[in-house]
Amino acid sequence: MSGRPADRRSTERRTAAGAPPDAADRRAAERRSRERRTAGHRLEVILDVTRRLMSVTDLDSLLHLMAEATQELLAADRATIFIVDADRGELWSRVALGTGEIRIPLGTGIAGSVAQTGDVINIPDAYADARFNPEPDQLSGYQTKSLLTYPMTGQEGRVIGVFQAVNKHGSGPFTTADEETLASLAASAAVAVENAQLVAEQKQLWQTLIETLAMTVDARDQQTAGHSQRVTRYADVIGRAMGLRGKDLEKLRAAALLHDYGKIAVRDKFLQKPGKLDDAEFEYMKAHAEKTGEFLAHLVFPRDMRDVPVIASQHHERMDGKGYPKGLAADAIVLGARIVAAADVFDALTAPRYYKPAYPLDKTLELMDEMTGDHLDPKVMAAVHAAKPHLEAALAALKHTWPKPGDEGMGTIQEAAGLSERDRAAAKGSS
Amino acid sequence: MKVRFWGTRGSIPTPGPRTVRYGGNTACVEVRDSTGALLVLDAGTGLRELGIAMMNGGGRRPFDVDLLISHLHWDHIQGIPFFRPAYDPKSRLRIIGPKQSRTMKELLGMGMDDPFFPVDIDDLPVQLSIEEMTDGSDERVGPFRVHSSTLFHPSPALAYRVEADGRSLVYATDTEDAFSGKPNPVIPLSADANTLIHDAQFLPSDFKATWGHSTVDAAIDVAVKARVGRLVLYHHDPDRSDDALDRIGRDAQRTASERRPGLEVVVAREGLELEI
Repeated sequence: MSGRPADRRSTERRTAAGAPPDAADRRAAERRSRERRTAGHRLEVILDVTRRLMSVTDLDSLLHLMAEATQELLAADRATIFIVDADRGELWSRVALGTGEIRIPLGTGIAGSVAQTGDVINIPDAYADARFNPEPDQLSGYQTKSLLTYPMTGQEGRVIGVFQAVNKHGSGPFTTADEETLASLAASAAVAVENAQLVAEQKQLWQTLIETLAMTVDARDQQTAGHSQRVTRYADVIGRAMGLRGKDLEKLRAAALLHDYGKIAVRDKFLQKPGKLDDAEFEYMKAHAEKTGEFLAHLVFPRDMRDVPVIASQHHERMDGKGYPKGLAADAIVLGARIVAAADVFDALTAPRYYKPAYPLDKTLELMDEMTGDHLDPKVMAAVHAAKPHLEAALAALKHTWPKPGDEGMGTIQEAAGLSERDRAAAKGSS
Repeated sequence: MKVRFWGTRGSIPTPGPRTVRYGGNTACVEVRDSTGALLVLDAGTGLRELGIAMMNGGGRRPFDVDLLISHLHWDHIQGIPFFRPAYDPKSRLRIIGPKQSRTMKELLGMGMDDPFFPVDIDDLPVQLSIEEMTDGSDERVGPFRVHSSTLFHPSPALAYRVEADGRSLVYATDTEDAFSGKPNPVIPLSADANTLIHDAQFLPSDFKATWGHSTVDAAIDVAVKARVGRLVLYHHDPDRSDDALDRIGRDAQRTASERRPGLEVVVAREGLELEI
């Protein structure tokens, strides 16, 4: 037996009397288990988040994902991820998904200061710290206690963002282990954020590049000012009515925006000649469609936008094969080009030009119906009719981009009651 | 050898006014040889009481504990996390259980994994080793010699024959072997043993086939056939009251005496000490 046979009553009394001698060992063992389990769990979450971070390329989703992970990993009540906007000298973040953004000047407040210095700031009691600004708490009624603010450093060593975790669950402050966890998370997050920023910049570069190209060509000729922008909008409306979505619409819009780019190579004396072009001049003018294809073929488009030059260069082809530059007929013309052709005619008729007034929508559609079959694709025209209310709205929205009387070459509009030969020619030769 | 019972109940602890005398803790038996060396049979909730007695008892420190586990059902392992000597870093604890497809270490560890218990088995401060025995093992465990036999039970389970000081004790809990239709391995394991601690969960009237347990009558039958000196009825059904166990003990002694004069029958109760 165990030394003296135990008297069970006295045993129980002693147990209840105070902490037994092995209690400290038991507590230490519990702490070890908890730490190991926490460490294992943290590692799993970090790996999982890293995997997900790498598959997300838009900044909004990244911010959301990182805030969630920070909250979970640090057992924080709240977490906010700020991104440095170097151009504006600010930190910005979404307050919550779908709501507006918050902006803090770099260098102000705790997050702004971390963004500027790259130092970690771990504050056990916010209200005892002079750097803490209690104003947001006063507005929201939230009570900030512990606060861990950690920089996210990009590849070039610049601070590109800031993690901020608020109010650790339980009573304690954020720990060194929490800082280490954020170090791992921030390293993966930085790569993902910089990727997302690159993708966004690339998209922006691409969009502004084609917009700039279109602006330069529109600027050559006052009377077609805003033409590329309007054709793009009309093509988009018609394309949607035909069921195009996503990348197909994006390609269509790019091609519409750039369809007249070849005109950059047409001499001013033809481009800006008031009155009818003679046959030789018209032949020369026609070269612009081919030039559009030529110039754009030189630009290395993103892989999924490769057929933009083809769409753009075919916008003067006709269903009957009598168009230019290649004389392609019907289905040999890509669908996008057939849509841009209709949008092009639509703008030529609805907008005022020096030789014609702006035609009302109904008259425009009548004229286009007459051109359907030979020139315009009946399927595209069906979509034009189906999308009539949308076209009407787009027309109203874009009226302000029309050339104004008094603009160069726009002084001599003849109010025409009916459709003159000239109108027909204008419609057919819409450019 | 001496034994002391710290838990005699089967299935689940049964505290309450109907189980005051025989006790509500689950399976745990303390065995000591003449030198005081300790061998524990099963780690049900009775193990906690044993641990407290050890901590307060002024016996030899650090502790050196060998613990034989019959099988891993809750009523045979639940005391481990609450065995206070397991939190003493100077003490040594060796747990031995029936070998199965996964290691005893892994299986016992699962029971203490988060969220079932806050301390992982690897974090127990005691110097812990976990080993396995199979059917027919014959090993030295400290000063004790231990033979084992596989039992007929829904989970891999072993009966142990423990010998020391020239005396022998058989621990055969959770056995339905008497009803398996095959030769009962407990009979040869118990041959001529001084004491047989045997599963007696059921009476013939409430026997439940396939639950892996024996009846009082089957236990007597084994004791008679194995020519043991003393039978201890053990692993009481959780529904069995003190009064019922009193009656069962009286009836069992009468039956046993009829079948084999001199066969002593004891009903296990918490705190019972027997000289083997």
